[in-house]
Amino acid sequence: MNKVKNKKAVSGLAFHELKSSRLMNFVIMVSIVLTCVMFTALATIGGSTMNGFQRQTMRQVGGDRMAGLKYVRQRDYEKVLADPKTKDVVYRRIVGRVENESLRTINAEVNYVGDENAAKAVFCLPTTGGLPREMDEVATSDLTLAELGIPCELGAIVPLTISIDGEIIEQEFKLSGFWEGDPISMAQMLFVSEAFADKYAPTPDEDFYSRGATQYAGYWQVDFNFSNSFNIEGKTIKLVERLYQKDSYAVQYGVNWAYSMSSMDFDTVWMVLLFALMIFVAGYLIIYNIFQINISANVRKYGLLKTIGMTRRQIRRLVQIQTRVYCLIGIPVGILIGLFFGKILFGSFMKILTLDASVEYHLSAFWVVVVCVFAATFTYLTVMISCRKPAGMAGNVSPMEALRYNETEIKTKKDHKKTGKVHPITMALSNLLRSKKKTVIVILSLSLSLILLNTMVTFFKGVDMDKYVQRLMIGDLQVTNASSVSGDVSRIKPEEIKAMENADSIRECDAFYRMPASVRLTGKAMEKAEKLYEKHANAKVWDEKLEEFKKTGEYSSSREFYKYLDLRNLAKGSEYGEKGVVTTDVYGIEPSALDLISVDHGTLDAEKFATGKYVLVNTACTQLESAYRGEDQFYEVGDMLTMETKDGITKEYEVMAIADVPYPLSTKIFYSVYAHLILPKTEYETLSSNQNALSAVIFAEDGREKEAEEFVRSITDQPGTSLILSNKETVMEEFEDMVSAFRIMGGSLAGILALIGALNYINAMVTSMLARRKEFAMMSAVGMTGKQLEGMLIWEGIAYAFGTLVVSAVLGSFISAVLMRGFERITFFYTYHFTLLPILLGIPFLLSLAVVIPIIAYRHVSKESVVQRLRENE
Amino acid sequence: MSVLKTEDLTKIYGQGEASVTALENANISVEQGEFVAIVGTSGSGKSTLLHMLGGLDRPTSGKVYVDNKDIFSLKDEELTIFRRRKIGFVFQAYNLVPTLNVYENIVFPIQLDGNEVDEAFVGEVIATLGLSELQNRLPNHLSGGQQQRVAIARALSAKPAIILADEPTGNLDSKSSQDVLSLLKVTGQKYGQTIVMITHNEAIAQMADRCIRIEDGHIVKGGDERHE
Repeated sequence: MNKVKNKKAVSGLAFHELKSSRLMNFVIMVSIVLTCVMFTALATIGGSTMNGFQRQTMRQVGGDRMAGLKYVRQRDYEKVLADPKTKDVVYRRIVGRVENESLRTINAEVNYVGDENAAKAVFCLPTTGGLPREMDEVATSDLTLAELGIPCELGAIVPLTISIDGEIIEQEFKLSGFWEGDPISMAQMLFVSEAFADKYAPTPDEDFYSRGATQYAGYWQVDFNFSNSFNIEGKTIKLVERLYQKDSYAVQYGVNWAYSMSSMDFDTVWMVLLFALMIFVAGYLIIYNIFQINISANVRKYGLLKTIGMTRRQIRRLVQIQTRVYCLIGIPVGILIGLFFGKILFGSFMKILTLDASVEYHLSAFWVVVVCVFAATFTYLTVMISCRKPAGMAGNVSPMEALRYNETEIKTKKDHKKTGKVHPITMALSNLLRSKKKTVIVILSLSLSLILLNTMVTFFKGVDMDKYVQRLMIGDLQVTNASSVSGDVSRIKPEEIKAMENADSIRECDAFYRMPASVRLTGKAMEKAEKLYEKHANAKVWDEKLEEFKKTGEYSSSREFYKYLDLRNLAKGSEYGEKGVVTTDVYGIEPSALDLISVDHGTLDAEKFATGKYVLVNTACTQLESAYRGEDQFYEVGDMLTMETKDGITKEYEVMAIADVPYPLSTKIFYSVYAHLILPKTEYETLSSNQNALSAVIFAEDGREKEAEEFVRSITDQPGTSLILSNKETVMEEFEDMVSAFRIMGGSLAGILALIGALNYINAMVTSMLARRKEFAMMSAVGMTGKQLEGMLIWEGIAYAFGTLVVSAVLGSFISAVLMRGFERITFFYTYHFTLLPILLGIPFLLSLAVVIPIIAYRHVSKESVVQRLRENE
Repeated sequence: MSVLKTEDLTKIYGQGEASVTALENANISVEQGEFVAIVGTSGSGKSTLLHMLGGLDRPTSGKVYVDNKDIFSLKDEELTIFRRRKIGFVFQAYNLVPTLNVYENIVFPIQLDGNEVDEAFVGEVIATLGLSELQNRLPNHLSGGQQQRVAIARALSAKPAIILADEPTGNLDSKSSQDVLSLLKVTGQKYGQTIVMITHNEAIAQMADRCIRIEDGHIVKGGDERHE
């Protein structure tokens, strides 16, 4: 085939055409800009919120690296450093923990950090002074210093009692540097010098597991990043395999849960893709519709071009070139506006409302580029796909037909219609029915905006801070034991409980008692345990390896191996444990505290429970992968359960429900295979001689929270106790940043979506007015007044609004019920609430637009005289 | 007595150097019941004249009287109402409302006025134009000649004093043209209506009582019968 140099002619014409119909160009451009704004704003706001949320979690966890190897040595650090897939590798050396009495409510760790990057990685880089260099220097946070009662001055004397694997060292240090401590962090850091670490906690020659995995001092914590945060756990496992060739010697690793909960796991990716798809479809419908209208309005022109010899492909090219020009202008403008909304506006809201955390809710330059590329690509794809069909249609126009083309020749299958009364309403309806496809598209695209808005609101309304805080705190006040050492941790005396119960300012005080015991699996429960072993233990491989390990004395520390050991102990019994015996915590509660118990299966019946014949139970095997959760639930409602106390009392209970004690009130210690039982206090007392309670929840009388707190503090602050008082308000305040960040994000996104929805509607109406100029002229030529025409247009608008209401309510409910409800399962701090409020609130707006826009658009159109409009295209 | 009269009607499109004088000082007068053809080459200004006669376009200067009323003293909205009561239009492109069936199209101007349809009269018009069988059809399923007959029926239905026809046969073959014109003339006579028709076809112009010839925006012949 000969190559003909016609490109110039086609593109030249394309640009001339663009100059000729400015208003239409503007409308198309606006729709492209809007689509692009949607993508950009969603990506920036979504991204910065995820980022901020992630940073907050990191602060809590106390580290920003994606993963780490635990309890290793220098040679492991060097291996990780040398690996090509890791980056930002840092290390800390464990020294010990601070045991000063005044620091008992703070978990204060003593470490040595290699360099400033390592300190930065755990958010503990001294802002005043520097890291310690001398034997007697120490650096820590202002929070720790405040608890110790030492002023924040370099060179201040800091007396410390440090426990290094049980050995106590008391020494006075000089403050070499300090930083602003983070109250939401789980632990506070103290850094010592290398000299100190080398002297008191030198790295042992043997590895951690060979020494029984109980002595921590001197071991290295090596933390690092990968190139991206996708599937961190998988990458870490691969890294371990790469470095240690299977299992001859393996290390324990940790994955930063800041990443796993808020970042690129599959659920999040799905959610993001789903929203992107919804925007894509909304954008597609709008742009497609406008192109379609534009092309049918210009059918005569294309016919003309064909009669003078333009081919189908050239016409298609003409439309495509025009589309690319629209994109070239529309996409950058859209990105700029989107960034303005998403970054600048959102950022300044954040700054105004929450001063502290605003820094964390921003996107780095790299992510801004990613967002721009993402938005540009998606918008371009949306536009090009949307214009494909209309462009094809333009190309397929038959020249003679196009020249004779007349609005009256719109093809309909119906050839006749019953005679009825002509009225603006009936005319409006038949106008909408005339081009059903267009009507459906307009309604769908409007509905999608509304549904998107509704989904967003459902999502953000569902973010439940109470649920989030419940992980840390229940009730107004909470008394627990500071010491996390296992053993008997019940330290709240009966008279203290009594005093709290009787205090005027306290409405309810629920004490939780706890004793160690064991459960012996029998019958169905035992069968389940055996099944679990067969399915998950991979005994064929490990049985052999275990023999090897026994010979060499070098055991694997991989999760697989521990899972195998745990399941084997349970199902078969071994020197480590008796068959079917599960380590158990028995909790005793007052029946009034039943409402604090979270139930998985079954129902709680306070009366039956009080008889002492029933038990609430939860069992778990912690090494089992989360995908198989539930398989380790050995009991079902109605089963009989046999329990044996440490004193040798054996008793049988019927399972009333599968339920567990709230995490903050529990011992917070989880055995590899465990059972938690809950009995009424009366029954509990017959089994245990220990009268002390493990923890207590306090609900204050309304308005007397302060008084209640003072009262409880008088108990917990007595010298010699190790009780900690936590206050819901303080915990809430600590998370306020996050709460308001979520609100602002939800508000901003909803606002942008609502705005875009409105603009889309305006766009749809204006396009339709432009395309129908001639039709209106004809109507007024035969005597339809402007008022009557406006009336008809308003009724069309109302019909659109009504259609949109119906479609978005139906589809919105569906999406809300199916998708958003599913969200509750995967996010612990999310509570699903059904709402169609945004859609209902959107209707008055749609209706007022439905009245105002057609009138404005028609007035604009009718500026041209009837004759001018009638002559158009002739 | 003249039912339609113009006074120094002038229309200039554009401004300054780019301005085009489409019509200059046109004075015509049409008697009640007359059938007048306006002839001229394309661009001569005949459509401009017709549009202003019907109040579709406003003149640069000069006046149009319908039943001795200066129609351009009316506001746009009033003018539209005046037009649907006094003037029936027949366009070359038919301009039927695509969503309305034949009957609805015909009675559309009456219903727009909020008046009851004079069923007997409309029925007679429909029968005269041979549309009785097609009443429930939609316009896109009619031939060109049929569509133009519907347009004529629509123009007649409100019993206007004047019917203005802009190249009514321009899109039709010669057989249909003859039919449509005969019908236009017959119905005009039957209901005593004044007809002003634009055409560039001399043969068709011959069917009219009088020919007004227009060239380069000037009436060159037949503007006012009384002056001849």
